[in-house]
Amino acid sequence: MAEAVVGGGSSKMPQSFGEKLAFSVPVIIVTFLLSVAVAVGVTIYVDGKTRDELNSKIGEVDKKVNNLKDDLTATKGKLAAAEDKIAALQKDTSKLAEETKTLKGEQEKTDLAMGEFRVKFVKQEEVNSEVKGTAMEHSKNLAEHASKIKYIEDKLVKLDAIANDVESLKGDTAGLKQEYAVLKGDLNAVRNKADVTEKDLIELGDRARQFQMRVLLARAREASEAARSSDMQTLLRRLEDVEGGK
Amino acid sequence: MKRHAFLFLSLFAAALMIGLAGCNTERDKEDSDRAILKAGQQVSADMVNWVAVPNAQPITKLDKESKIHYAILPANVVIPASLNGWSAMPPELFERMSKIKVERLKMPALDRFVLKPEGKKVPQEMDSWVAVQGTWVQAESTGKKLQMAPLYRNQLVPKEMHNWVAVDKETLANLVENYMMTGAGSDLPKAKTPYKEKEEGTFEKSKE
Repeated sequence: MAEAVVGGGSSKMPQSFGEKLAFSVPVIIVTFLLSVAVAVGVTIYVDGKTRDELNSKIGEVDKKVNNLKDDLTATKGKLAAAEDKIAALQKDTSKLAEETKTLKGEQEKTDLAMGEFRVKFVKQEEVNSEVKGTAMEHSKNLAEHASKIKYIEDKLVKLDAIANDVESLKGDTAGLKQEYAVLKGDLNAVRNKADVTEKDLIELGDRARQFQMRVLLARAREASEAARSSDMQTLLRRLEDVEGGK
Repeated sequence: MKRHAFLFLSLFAAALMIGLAGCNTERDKEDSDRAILKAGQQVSADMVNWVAVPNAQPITKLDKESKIHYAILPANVVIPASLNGWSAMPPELFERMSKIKVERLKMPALDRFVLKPEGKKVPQEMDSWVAVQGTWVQAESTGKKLQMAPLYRNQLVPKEMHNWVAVDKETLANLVENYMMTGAGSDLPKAKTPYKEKEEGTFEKSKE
């Protein structure tokens, strides 16, 4: 038929549909084949490219998977280590709890001991305070005793000074000298006593004062007599008793 | 005429002799240890080396409160008979004993002049001066600082005793007696012990 078509220029054009269709079938087939061939070619081309990309992607994914696997392995290792640590921590925690319990017990004992110590300390403080009070009382007594002794020693010094005046008096001073000797002896005796009483001091003070008064009177009388008789040497000596280093 | 002339000459000679006799320094009739000089007189032989000073007197004072009479002596003054037997002392000592504040003399020491040689004329400015033998008031001391001097009439007050104070014996005796009982050094303790009774059996120290 095709030969008829191709070589039949003078042949007639199909008129009917059947003819027309018969005439178009080869073209359609060829077209169909061509299109299939193009489609296959395009598909093969695209498929090859896609396959390369896919392989590349798969490679990358494989690599990532491998990496992930490595990470997973490392993480598993770390997790195991962490688990070990957790186990150790749990062990430590339990040990700590036991120790805490022990310490608590110890602290209770210590608190008890501290309470007892506080009680003892307070008692000791009371004892110390009592001892301090006693010591202060003792010091006070000592100071008072020292004051009394000093009072007597001052009297003795004064008596000695007055005795010098008595020695230099020209008049009859035998009585005064005897009184001085007795008074000094008594003052020394009282000074050496362990318990000097107020009565002792009053008595000695009065006696010393009376003695000094007598000496002063004798001294003044002798001075006035020297003035009346123009005995300047005696008068000046008596005045020196009063004037001292002036 | 001759007779009149002879009488005139006799009278003149007599007056001259009397005048010449009156020109010599003379001792006081009442007190032979002193003389009041007159200008123009000549130093007599027995008064050679006497000391002449102005006829001044010690300044006498009366303390109204204590009724104490005292005299302040300027240097070179002659001790008058009224102060014979008195005693002199430095003003500081008198002040301590009497509690009287002694006013110091503002006048300087008096001038003095030694009469010599014999026959030297007394100058006009020494008219009425008093001349005495050159005996000075002697201060006594015991070797320390205290000094006193007994005064005798016609003694001269030396320069060191300018402003010294003189009192009579009785006043001095009273002053001294009082001073020795109440003055410094007599510090008589009060009739108290250094302790006073606090309560039975215990004593506390007195504040005195």
